[in-house]
Amino acid sequence: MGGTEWSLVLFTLLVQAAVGLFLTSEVMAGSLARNSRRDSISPEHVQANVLSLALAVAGIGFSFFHLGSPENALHVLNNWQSSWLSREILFVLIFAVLSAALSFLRWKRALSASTQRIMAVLAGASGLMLIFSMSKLYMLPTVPPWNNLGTPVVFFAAALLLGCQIFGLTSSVGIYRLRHLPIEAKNIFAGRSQKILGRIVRFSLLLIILQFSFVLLFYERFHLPAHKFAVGAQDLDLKFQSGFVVRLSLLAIAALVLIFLLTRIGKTGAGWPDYRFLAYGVFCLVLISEFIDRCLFFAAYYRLGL
Amino acid sequence: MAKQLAFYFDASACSGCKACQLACKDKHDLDLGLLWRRVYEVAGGEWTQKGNAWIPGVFAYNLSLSCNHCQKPICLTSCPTGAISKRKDGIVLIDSARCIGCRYCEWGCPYGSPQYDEVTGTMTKCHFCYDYIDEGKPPACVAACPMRALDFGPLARLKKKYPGAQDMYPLPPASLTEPAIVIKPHKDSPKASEANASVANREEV
Repeated sequence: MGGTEWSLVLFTLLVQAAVGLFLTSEVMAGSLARNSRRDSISPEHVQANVLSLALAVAGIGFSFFHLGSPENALHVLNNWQSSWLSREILFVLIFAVLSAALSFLRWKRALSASTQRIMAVLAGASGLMLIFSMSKLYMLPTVPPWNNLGTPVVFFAAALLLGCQIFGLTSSVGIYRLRHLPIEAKNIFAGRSQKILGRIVRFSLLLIILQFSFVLLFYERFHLPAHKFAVGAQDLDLKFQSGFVVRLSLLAIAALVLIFLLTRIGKTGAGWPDYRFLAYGVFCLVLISEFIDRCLFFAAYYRLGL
Repeated sequence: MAKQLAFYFDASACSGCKACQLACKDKHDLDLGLLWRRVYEVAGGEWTQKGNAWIPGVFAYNLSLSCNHCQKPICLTSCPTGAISKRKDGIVLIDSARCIGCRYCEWGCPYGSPQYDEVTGTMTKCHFCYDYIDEGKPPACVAACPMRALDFGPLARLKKKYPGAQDMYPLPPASLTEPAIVIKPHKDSPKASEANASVANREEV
Protein backbone atom coordinates (compact mmCIF):
# COMPACT_ATOMS: atom_id res chain seq x y z
CA MET A 1 0.00 0.00 0.00
CA GLY A 2 1.50 3.29 -1.06
CA GLY A 3 1.43 5.68 1.89
CA THR A 4 -1.69 6.56 3.82
CA GLU A 5 -4.92 5.91 1.95
CA TRP A 6 -6.56 9.29 2.62
CA SER A 7 -9.76 8.38 0.78
CA LEU A 8 -10.18 5.26 2.91
CA VAL A 9 -9.34 7.19 6.09
CA LEU A 10 -12.18 9.61 5.28
CA PHE A 11 -14.57 6.91 4.08
CA THR A 12 -14.19 4.74 7.18
CA LEU A 13 -14.37 7.66 9.61
CA LEU A 14 -17.38 9.30 7.96
CA VAL A 15 -19.36 6.09 7.59
CA GLN A 16 -18.59 5.01 11.15
CA ALA A 17 -19.60 8.45 12.42
CA ALA A 18 -22.86 8.19 10.43
CA VAL A 19 -23.74 4.84 12.00
CA GLY A 20 -22.72 5.99 15.47
CA LEU A 21 -24.77 9.18 15.13
CA PHE A 22 -27.82 7.21 14.02
CA LEU A 23 -27.57 4.71 16.88
CA THR A 24 -26.88 7.21 19.66
CA SER A 25 -29.58 9.62 18.49
CA GLU A 26 -32.17 6.83 18.25
CA VAL A 27 -31.36 5.49 21.69
CA MET A 28 -31.03 8.83 23.51
CA ALA A 29 -33.59 11.05 21.80
CA GLY A 30 -35.93 8.12 21.17
CA SER A 31 -36.10 6.96 24.77
CA LEU A 32 -36.60 10.52 25.98
CA ALA A 33 -39.47 11.05 23.55
CA ARG A 34 -41.14 7.83 24.70
CA ASN A 35 -40.66 8.69 28.38
CA SER A 36 -42.23 12.11 27.94
CA ARG A 37 -45.26 10.49 26.20
CA ARG A 38 -45.17 13.29 23.69
CA ASP A 39 -44.83 13.03 19.96
CA SER A 40 -42.15 10.41 19.38
CA ILE A 41 -40.74 12.44 16.46
CA SER A 42 -38.33 14.82 18.15
CA PRO A 43 -36.44 17.61 16.35
CA GLU A 44 -33.19 15.89 17.40
CA HIS A 45 -34.32 12.76 15.56
CA VAL A 46 -34.84 14.41 12.19
CA GLN A 47 -31.73 16.55 12.54
CA ALA A 48 -29.58 13.52 13.42
CA ASN A 49 -31.12 11.36 10.67
CA VAL A 50 -30.39 13.98 8.00
CA LEU A 51 -26.85 14.53 9.24
CA SER A 52 -26.22 10.78 9.46
CA LEU A 53 -27.37 10.41 5.87
CA ALA A 54 -25.14 13.31 4.77
CA LEU A 55 -22.10 11.75 6.49
CA ALA A 56 -22.76 8.36 4.86
CA VAL A 57 -23.19 9.91 1.41
CA ALA A 58 -20.00 11.98 1.85
CA GLY A 59 -18.17 8.81 2.90
CA ILE A 60 -19.40 6.94 -0.17
CA GLY A 61 -18.31 9.91 -2.31
CA PHE A 62 -14.77 9.86 -0.88
CA SER A 63 -14.51 6.10 -1.43
CA PHE A 64 -14.67 6.69 -5.19
CA PHE A 65 -11.28 8.46 -5.02
CA HIS A 66 -9.77 5.14 -3.99
CA LEU A 67 -10.93 3.37 -7.14
CA GLY A 68 -8.87 3.08 -10.29
CA SER A 69 -11.95 2.47 -12.45
CA PRO A 70 -14.98 4.03 -10.73
CA GLU A 71 -16.98 3.60 -13.94
CA ASN A 72 -17.19 -0.13 -13.13
CA ALA A 73 -18.59 0.54 -9.64
CA LEU A 74 -21.99 -0.89 -10.55
CA HIS A 75 -20.42 -4.37 -10.40
CA VAL A 76 -19.45 -3.91 -6.76
CA LEU A 77 -22.35 -5.93 -5.32
CA ASN A 78 -21.72 -8.96 -7.58
CA ASN A 79 -19.68 -10.98 -5.10
CA TRP A 80 -21.56 -10.41 -1.83
CA GLN A 81 -21.66 -14.18 -1.29
CA SER A 82 -17.94 -14.29 -0.45
CA SER A 83 -16.48 -10.77 -0.39
CA TRP A 84 -16.65 -8.67 2.80
CA LEU A 85 -15.92 -5.59 0.71
CA SER A 86 -18.99 -6.28 -1.40
CA ARG A 87 -21.05 -6.79 1.79
CA GLU A 88 -19.73 -3.54 3.23
CA ILE A 89 -20.99 -1.64 0.19
CA LEU A 90 -24.31 -3.51 0.31
CA PHE A 91 -24.88 -2.52 3.95
CA VAL A 92 -23.77 1.08 3.44
CA LEU A 93 -26.37 1.37 0.65
CA ILE A 94 -29.12 -0.22 2.76
CA PHE A 95 -28.21 2.07 5.67
CA ALA A 96 -28.24 5.17 3.45
CA VAL A 97 -31.57 4.29 1.82
CA LEU A 98 -33.26 3.54 5.17
CA SER A 99 -31.82 6.72 6.73
CA ALA A 100 -33.05 8.76 3.77
CA ALA A 101 -36.54 7.22 3.95
CA LEU A 102 -36.72 7.70 7.72
CA SER A 103 -35.57 11.32 7.51
CA PHE A 104 -38.10 12.16 4.81
CA LEU A 105 -41.06 10.39 6.42
CA ARG A 106 -40.29 11.83 9.87
CA TRP A 107 -39.97 15.29 8.40
CA LYS A 108 -43.35 14.83 6.67
CA ARG A 109 -44.75 13.27 9.88
CA ALA A 110 -46.07 10.46 7.73
CA LEU A 111 -45.09 7.57 10.02
CA SER A 112 -46.83 5.80 12.87
CA ALA A 113 -44.73 5.19 16.00
CA SER A 114 -44.53 1.43 15.35
CA THR A 115 -43.48 1.82 11.69
CA GLN A 116 -40.91 4.34 12.78
CA ARG A 117 -39.52 1.93 15.33
CA ILE A 118 -39.32 -0.92 12.79
CA MET A 119 -37.53 1.27 10.24
CA ALA A 120 -35.14 2.59 12.89
CA VAL A 121 -34.31 -0.93 14.07
CA LEU A 122 -33.67 -2.07 10.47
CA ALA A 123 -31.46 0.95 9.75
CA GLY A 124 -29.59 0.46 13.04
CA ALA A 125 -29.07 -3.25 12.30
CA SER A 126 -27.77 -2.50 8.81
CA GLY A 127 -25.42 0.09 10.37
CA LEU A 128 -24.06 -2.47 12.82
CA MET A 129 -23.62 -5.00 10.01
CA LEU A 130 -21.84 -2.31 8.02
CA ILE A 131 -19.24 -1.74 10.76
CA PHE A 132 -18.88 -5.51 11.19
CA SER A 133 -18.33 -6.03 7.44
CA MET A 134 -15.88 -3.13 7.39
CA SER A 135 -13.89 -4.77 10.20
CA LYS A 136 -13.97 -8.20 8.58
CA LEU A 137 -12.75 -6.95 5.21
CA TYR A 138 -9.55 -5.64 6.81
CA MET A 139 -9.03 -8.84 8.82
CA LEU A 140 -7.15 -10.58 6.00
CA PRO A 141 -5.24 -13.70 7.12
CA THR A 142 -2.13 -12.41 5.34
CA VAL A 143 -2.17 -8.99 7.07
CA PRO A 144 -1.22 -9.51 10.76
CA PRO A 145 -1.60 -5.88 11.97
CA TRP A 146 -5.26 -5.89 10.89
CA ASN A 147 -6.14 -9.54 11.45
CA ASN A 148 -6.96 -9.33 15.16
CA LEU A 149 -9.76 -8.39 17.53
CA GLY A 150 -8.43 -4.84 17.76
CA THR A 151 -9.90 -3.96 14.35
CA PRO A 152 -13.62 -4.52 15.15
CA VAL A 153 -13.29 -3.30 18.74
CA VAL A 154 -11.65 0.01 17.78
CA PHE A 155 -14.00 0.47 14.78
CA PHE A 156 -17.17 -0.01 16.87
CA ALA A 157 -15.83 2.21 19.66
CA ALA A 158 -14.86 4.90 17.14
CA ALA A 159 -18.32 4.76 15.56
CA LEU A 160 -20.13 5.24 18.86
CA LEU A 161 -17.71 7.87 20.15
CA LEU A 162 -17.80 9.98 16.99
CA GLY A 163 -21.57 9.54 16.65
CA CYS A 164 -22.16 10.52 20.25
CA GLN A 165 -19.94 13.58 19.90
CA ILE A 166 -21.63 14.74 16.70
CA PHE A 167 -25.05 14.21 18.30
CA GLY A 168 -23.86 16.32 21.24
CA LEU A 169 -22.62 19.00 18.89
CA THR A 170 -25.88 19.23 16.94
CA SER A 171 -27.96 19.17 20.13
CA SER A 172 -25.88 21.89 21.75
CA VAL A 173 -26.14 24.03 18.60
CA GLY A 174 -29.90 23.44 18.78
CA ILE A 175 -30.09 24.56 22.41
CA TYR A 176 -28.10 27.71 21.62
CA ARG A 177 -30.55 28.62 18.86
CA LEU A 178 -33.42 28.45 21.37
CA ARG A 179 -32.36 31.78 22.85
CA HIS A 180 -34.57 33.60 20.31
CA LEU A 181 -37.73 31.62 21.18
CA PRO A 182 -40.44 32.88 23.52
CA ILE A 183 -39.70 31.90 27.11
CA GLU A 184 -42.40 29.18 27.36
CA ALA A 185 -41.34 27.37 24.23
CA LYS A 186 -37.72 27.76 25.24
CA ASN A 187 -38.37 26.08 28.59
CA ILE A 188 -40.08 23.08 26.97
CA PHE A 189 -37.27 22.41 24.50
CA ALA A 190 -34.40 23.49 26.72
CA GLY A 191 -35.31 21.09 29.52
CA ARG A 192 -35.49 18.23 27.07
CA SER A 193 -32.23 19.12 25.31
CA GLN A 194 -30.46 19.54 28.65
CA LYS A 195 -31.36 15.95 29.53
CA ILE A 196 -30.04 14.71 26.20
CA LEU A 197 -26.82 16.68 26.61
CA GLY A 198 -26.31 15.28 30.09
CA ARG A 199 -26.63 11.77 28.75
CA ILE A 200 -24.27 12.51 25.85
CA VAL A 201 -21.56 13.81 28.19
CA ARG A 202 -21.78 10.77 30.48
CA PHE A 203 -21.84 8.32 27.54
CA SER A 204 -18.97 10.14 25.80
CA LEU A 205 -16.88 9.94 28.95
CA LEU A 206 -17.51 6.21 29.20
CA LEU A 207 -16.62 5.70 25.52
CA ILE A 208 -13.45 7.79 25.76
CA ILE A 209 -12.29 5.71 28.73
CA LEU A 210 -13.09 2.50 26.82
CA GLN A 211 -11.36 3.70 23.64
CA PHE A 212 -8.30 4.76 25.69
CA SER A 213 -8.15 1.24 27.14
CA PHE A 214 -8.62 -0.43 23.74
CA VAL A 215 -5.83 1.63 22.18
CA LEU A 216 -3.46 0.54 24.94
CA LEU A 217 -4.70 -3.06 24.85
CA PHE A 218 -4.25 -3.49 21.10
CA TYR A 219 -1.10 -1.38 20.69
CA GLU A 220 0.97 -4.53 20.19
CA ARG A 221 -0.80 -5.34 16.93
CA PHE A 222 1.09 -2.60 15.11
CA HIS A 223 4.51 -3.85 16.14
CA LEU A 224 7.01 -5.00 13.55
CA PRO A 225 6.90 -8.64 12.47
CA ALA A 226 9.74 -11.02 13.21
CA HIS A 227 9.51 -12.29 9.62
CA LYS A 228 11.76 -10.27 7.34
CA PHE A 229 9.59 -10.99 4.30
CA ALA A 230 6.69 -8.91 5.36
CA VAL A 231 6.07 -6.67 2.36
CA GLY A 232 5.70 -3.04 3.30
CA ALA A 233 7.12 -3.51 6.79
CA GLN A 234 9.16 -0.52 7.79
CA ASP A 235 10.62 0.95 10.91
CA LEU A 236 7.36 2.11 12.37
CA ASP A 237 8.37 2.27 15.99
CA LEU A 238 9.26 5.96 16.31
CA LYS A 239 6.44 7.21 14.10
CA PHE A 240 3.92 4.98 15.81
CA GLN A 241 5.00 5.70 19.35
CA SER A 242 4.67 9.45 18.83
CA GLY A 243 1.33 8.98 17.04
CA PHE A 244 -0.08 6.90 19.87
CA VAL A 245 1.22 9.30 22.52
CA VAL A 246 -0.58 12.20 20.78
CA ARG A 247 -3.76 10.13 20.34
CA LEU A 248 -3.85 9.01 23.97
CA SER A 249 -3.05 12.53 25.23
CA LEU A 250 -5.95 13.99 23.24
CA LEU A 251 -8.35 11.39 24.62
CA ALA A 252 -7.11 12.01 28.17
CA ILE A 253 -7.59 15.79 27.83
CA ALA A 254 -11.09 15.23 26.37
CA ALA A 255 -11.98 12.98 29.34
CA LEU A 256 -10.73 15.57 31.85
CA VAL A 257 -12.79 18.32 30.21
CA LEU A 258 -15.91 16.12 30.31
CA ILE A 259 -15.33 15.35 34.00
CA PHE A 260 -14.99 19.09 34.61
CA LEU A 261 -18.27 19.71 32.76
CA LEU A 262 -20.08 17.05 34.79
CA THR A 263 -18.90 18.59 38.05
CA ARG A 264 -19.88 22.12 37.03
CA ILE A 265 -23.26 21.72 35.36
CA GLY A 266 -26.15 21.75 37.73
CA LYS A 267 -24.10 22.54 40.82
CA THR A 268 -23.15 26.08 39.94
CA GLY A 269 -26.45 26.98 38.31
CA ALA A 270 -24.74 27.25 34.95
CA GLY A 271 -26.35 25.67 31.87
CA TRP A 272 -24.93 23.97 28.80
CA PRO A 273 -24.86 27.13 26.69
CA ASP A 274 -22.30 28.62 29.11
CA TYR A 275 -19.91 25.76 28.50
CA ARG A 276 -20.63 25.03 24.88
CA PHE A 277 -17.15 26.03 23.69
CA LEU A 278 -15.60 23.46 26.02
CA ALA A 279 -17.94 20.84 24.54
CA TYR A 280 -16.91 21.86 21.01
CA GLY A 281 -13.29 21.54 22.09
CA VAL A 282 -13.89 17.98 23.27
CA PHE A 283 -15.42 17.15 19.88
CA CYS A 284 -12.31 18.50 18.11
CA LEU A 285 -9.98 16.53 20.39
CA VAL A 286 -11.91 13.29 19.77
CA LEU A 287 -12.06 13.91 16.02
CA ILE A 288 -8.30 14.58 15.72
CA SER A 289 -7.54 11.57 17.92
CA GLU A 290 -9.65 9.23 15.78
CA PHE A 291 -8.17 10.70 12.59
CA ILE A 292 -4.63 10.00 13.85
CA ASP A 293 -5.63 6.46 14.77
CA ARG A 294 -7.07 5.79 11.33
CA CYS A 295 -3.96 7.14 9.59
CA LEU A 296 -1.80 4.88 11.78
CA PHE A 297 -4.09 1.94 10.99
CA PHE A 298 -3.54 2.24 7.25
CA ALA A 299 0.15 3.09 7.60
CA ALA A 300 0.65 -0.09 9.67
CA TYR A 301 -0.18 -2.29 6.67
CA TYR A 302 2.21 -5.05 5.85
CA ARG A 303 1.51 -8.55 4.65
CA LEU A 304 3.07 -11.95 4.86
CA GLY A 305 4.85 -13.24 1.81
CA LEU A 306 6.74 -11.75 -1.07
CA MET B 1 -12.62 -29.14 -11.43
CA ALA B 2 -11.24 -31.53 -14.05
CA LYS B 3 -7.63 -30.59 -13.42
CA GLN B 4 -5.63 -27.84 -11.81
CA LEU B 5 -2.87 -26.44 -14.00
CA ALA B 6 0.30 -25.61 -12.11
CA PHE B 7 3.88 -24.42 -12.55
CA TYR B 8 7.00 -26.34 -11.57
CA PHE B 9 10.14 -24.50 -10.52
CA ASP B 10 13.54 -26.09 -9.98
CA ALA B 11 15.46 -23.73 -7.69
CA SER B 12 18.62 -25.83 -8.01
CA ALA B 13 18.67 -25.34 -11.80
CA CYS B 14 17.73 -21.64 -12.05
CA SER B 15 20.67 -19.43 -13.00
CA GLY B 16 18.77 -16.15 -12.47
CA CYS B 17 19.05 -15.11 -16.13
CA LYS B 18 15.51 -13.67 -16.01
CA ALA B 19 14.61 -14.90 -19.50
CA CYS B 20 11.23 -16.03 -18.09
CA GLN B 21 10.55 -12.54 -16.71
CA LEU B 22 11.46 -10.90 -20.03
CA ALA B 23 9.52 -13.40 -22.16
CA CYS B 24 6.41 -12.70 -20.07
CA LYS B 25 6.85 -8.94 -20.24
CA ASP B 26 7.42 -9.10 -23.98
CA LYS B 27 4.53 -11.43 -24.75
CA HIS B 28 2.01 -9.35 -22.81
CA ASP B 29 3.60 -5.98 -23.68
CA LEU B 30 3.52 -4.99 -20.01
CA ASP B 31 3.96 -1.36 -19.01
CA LEU B 32 6.81 -0.06 -16.88
CA GLY B 33 6.55 -1.39 -13.34
CA LEU B 34 4.45 -4.43 -14.17
CA LEU B 35 6.08 -7.85 -13.82
CA TRP B 36 3.76 -10.83 -13.92
CA ARG B 37 6.75 -13.12 -13.34
CA ARG B 38 9.51 -12.02 -11.02
CA VAL B 39 12.88 -13.53 -10.26
CA TYR B 40 13.87 -12.99 -6.61
CA GLU B 41 17.52 -13.30 -5.61
CA VAL B 42 17.73 -14.67 -2.08
CA ALA B 43 21.10 -14.13 -0.44
CA GLY B 44 22.59 -14.40 3.02
CA GLY B 45 25.27 -15.90 5.24
CA GLU B 46 28.60 -14.48 6.31
CA TRP B 47 32.34 -15.06 6.39
CA THR B 48 33.73 -16.42 9.64
CA GLN B 49 37.32 -16.17 10.88
CA LYS B 50 39.18 -19.29 11.98
CA GLY B 51 42.70 -18.38 13.05
CA ASN B 52 44.20 -16.49 10.15
CA ALA B 53 41.72 -17.87 7.63
CA TRP B 54 38.32 -16.54 6.57
CA ILE B 55 35.80 -19.29 5.84
CA PRO B 56 32.98 -18.43 3.39
CA GLY B 57 29.50 -19.26 4.64
CA VAL B 58 27.60 -17.18 2.11
CA PHE B 59 24.90 -18.52 -0.18
CA ALA B 60 22.51 -17.29 -2.87
CA TYR B 61 19.76 -18.76 -4.98
CA ASN B 62 16.92 -17.60 -7.23
CA LEU B 63 13.19 -17.95 -7.03
CA SER B 64 11.10 -17.42 -10.18
CA LEU B 65 7.52 -16.71 -9.22
CA SER B 66 4.32 -15.69 -10.97
CA CYS B 67 0.68 -16.07 -9.94
CA ASN B 68 0.33 -19.54 -8.44
CA HIS B 69 -3.31 -19.91 -9.53
CA CYS B 70 -4.05 -21.05 -6.00
CA GLN B 71 -6.62 -23.68 -5.13
CA LYS B 72 -7.88 -21.38 -2.35
CA PRO B 73 -7.27 -17.97 -3.95
CA ILE B 74 -7.71 -15.07 -1.50
CA CYS B 75 -7.96 -12.68 -4.45
CA LEU B 76 -11.02 -14.47 -5.87
CA THR B 77 -13.01 -14.66 -2.65
CA SER B 78 -12.25 -11.08 -1.66
CA CYS B 79 -12.87 -9.36 -5.01
CA PRO B 80 -16.11 -7.37 -4.59
CA THR B 81 -17.07 -7.29 -8.26
CA GLY B 82 -16.53 -10.93 -9.18
CA ALA B 83 -13.94 -9.77 -11.73
CA ILE B 84 -11.64 -12.61 -10.65
CA SER B 85 -12.67 -16.09 -11.73
CA LYS B 86 -11.19 -19.56 -11.98
CA ARG B 87 -11.42 -21.54 -15.20
CA LYS B 88 -12.18 -25.25 -15.31
CA ASP B 89 -8.47 -25.92 -15.68
CA GLY B 90 -7.72 -23.90 -12.50
CA ILE B 91 -6.34 -20.77 -14.17
CA VAL B 92 -7.27 -17.63 -12.18
CA LEU B 93 -8.25 -14.73 -14.46
CA ILE B 94 -9.07 -11.03 -13.99
CA ASP B 95 -11.80 -9.50 -16.15
CA SER B 96 -10.67 -5.87 -16.53
CA ALA B 97 -14.14 -4.84 -17.77
CA ARG B 98 -15.48 -5.63 -14.29
CA CYS B 99 -12.48 -4.60 -12.15
CA ILE B 100 -12.91 -1.34 -10.19
CA GLY B 101 -9.22 -1.06 -9.27
CA CYS B 102 -9.83 -1.13 -5.51
CA ARG B 103 -6.58 -3.13 -5.07
CA TYR B 104 -8.14 -5.32 -2.41
CA CYS B 105 -6.78 -8.47 -4.14
CA GLU B 106 -3.30 -6.94 -4.00
CA TRP B 107 -3.57 -6.40 -0.22
CA GLY B 108 -4.35 -10.02 0.48
CA CYS B 109 -2.28 -12.06 -1.98
CA PRO B 110 0.85 -13.38 -0.19
CA TYR B 111 2.71 -13.69 -3.51
CA GLY B 112 2.15 -10.11 -4.68
CA SER B 113 0.65 -11.44 -7.91
CA PRO B 114 -2.16 -8.97 -8.66
CA GLN B 115 -0.55 -5.72 -9.79
CA TYR B 116 -2.17 -2.38 -10.41
CA ASP B 117 -1.95 -0.97 -13.94
CA GLU B 118 -1.76 2.82 -13.64
CA VAL B 119 -2.78 3.26 -17.29
CA THR B 120 -6.00 1.24 -17.25
CA GLY B 121 -6.82 1.74 -13.56
CA THR B 122 -7.41 -1.99 -13.14
CA MET B 123 -5.61 -4.97 -11.66
CA THR B 124 -3.54 -7.28 -13.82
CA LYS B 125 -1.70 -10.55 -13.25
CA CYS B 126 -0.33 -13.70 -14.87
CA HIS B 127 -3.05 -15.59 -16.71
CA PHE B 128 -0.90 -18.64 -17.46
CA CYS B 129 -0.82 -17.59 -21.17
CA TYR B 130 -4.23 -19.24 -21.45
CA ASP B 131 -4.32 -18.35 -25.15
CA TYR B 132 -1.20 -20.49 -25.69
CA ILE B 133 -2.61 -23.22 -23.42
CA ASP B 134 -5.79 -23.32 -25.51
CA GLU B 135 -3.59 -23.73 -28.61
CA GLY B 136 -1.68 -26.55 -26.92
CA LYS B 137 1.50 -24.48 -26.48
CA PRO B 138 3.49 -23.90 -23.26
CA PRO B 139 3.33 -20.53 -21.44
CA ALA B 140 5.92 -17.99 -22.65
CA CYS B 141 8.00 -18.17 -19.44
CA VAL B 142 8.26 -21.97 -19.55
CA ALA B 143 9.21 -21.96 -23.25
CA ALA B 144 11.88 -19.28 -22.68
CA CYS B 145 13.75 -20.90 -19.77
CA PRO B 146 17.21 -22.00 -21.08
CA MET B 147 17.91 -24.07 -17.95
CA ARG B 148 14.60 -25.94 -18.12
CA ALA B 149 14.01 -24.84 -14.54
CA LEU B 150 10.35 -24.18 -15.33
CA ASP B 151 7.66 -26.61 -16.36
CA PHE B 152 3.89 -26.71 -16.28
CA GLY B 153 1.04 -29.20 -16.31
CA PRO B 154 -1.71 -30.61 -14.16
CA LEU B 155 -0.74 -30.28 -10.48
CA ALA B 156 -1.27 -33.98 -9.73
CA ARG B 157 1.00 -34.98 -12.61
CA LEU B 158 3.70 -32.47 -11.62
CA LYS B 159 3.66 -33.75 -8.05
CA LYS B 160 4.26 -37.28 -9.32
CA LYS B 161 6.92 -36.24 -11.82
CA TYR B 162 8.84 -33.90 -9.49
CA PRO B 163 8.57 -34.82 -5.82
CA GLY B 164 9.07 -31.51 -4.06
CA ALA B 165 7.45 -28.89 -1.91
CA GLN B 166 4.83 -26.18 -2.44
CA ASP B 167 6.78 -23.59 -0.52
CA MET B 168 10.40 -22.71 0.02
CA TYR B 169 12.01 -19.93 2.02
CA PRO B 170 11.01 -17.06 1.73
CA LEU B 171 7.54 -18.09 0.50
CA PRO B 172 4.67 -18.03 3.01
CA PRO B 173 3.15 -21.31 4.24
CA ALA B 174 1.30 -23.08 1.41
CA SER B 175 -1.64 -23.70 3.74
CA LEU B 176 -2.67 -20.02 3.38
CA THR B 177 -3.89 -20.31 -0.22
CA GLU B 178 -2.84 -23.79 -1.43
CA PRO B 179 -0.75 -22.53 -4.39
CA ALA B 180 -0.70 -24.64 -7.56
CA ILE B 181 3.09 -24.88 -7.71
CA VAL B 182 5.66 -27.60 -7.20
CA ILE B 183 9.14 -26.49 -6.19
CA LYS B 184 12.39 -28.37 -6.07
CA PRO B 185 14.02 -26.41 -3.24
CA HIS B 186 17.58 -25.15 -3.46
CA LYS B 187 20.02 -26.98 -1.18
CA ASP B 188 20.69 -23.75 0.70
CA SER B 189 17.07 -22.85 1.36
CA PRO B 190 17.01 -24.41 4.88
CA LYS B 191 20.19 -22.42 5.64
CA ALA B 192 18.52 -19.27 4.30
CA SER B 193 15.53 -19.81 6.57
CA GLU B 194 17.76 -20.22 9.63
CA ALA B 195 19.82 -17.16 8.73
CA ASN B 196 16.68 -15.09 7.93
CA ALA B 197 18.26 -14.27 4.55
CA SER B 198 16.95 -11.34 2.52
CA VAL B 199 15.92 -10.60 -1.06
CA ALA B 200 18.99 -8.98 -2.61
CA ASN B 201 17.23 -7.45 -5.63
CA ARG B 202 14.23 -5.87 -3.89
CA GLU B 203 14.48 -2.75 -6.12
CA GLU B 204 14.10 -4.88 -9.26
CA VAL B 205 11.01 -6.78 -8.22
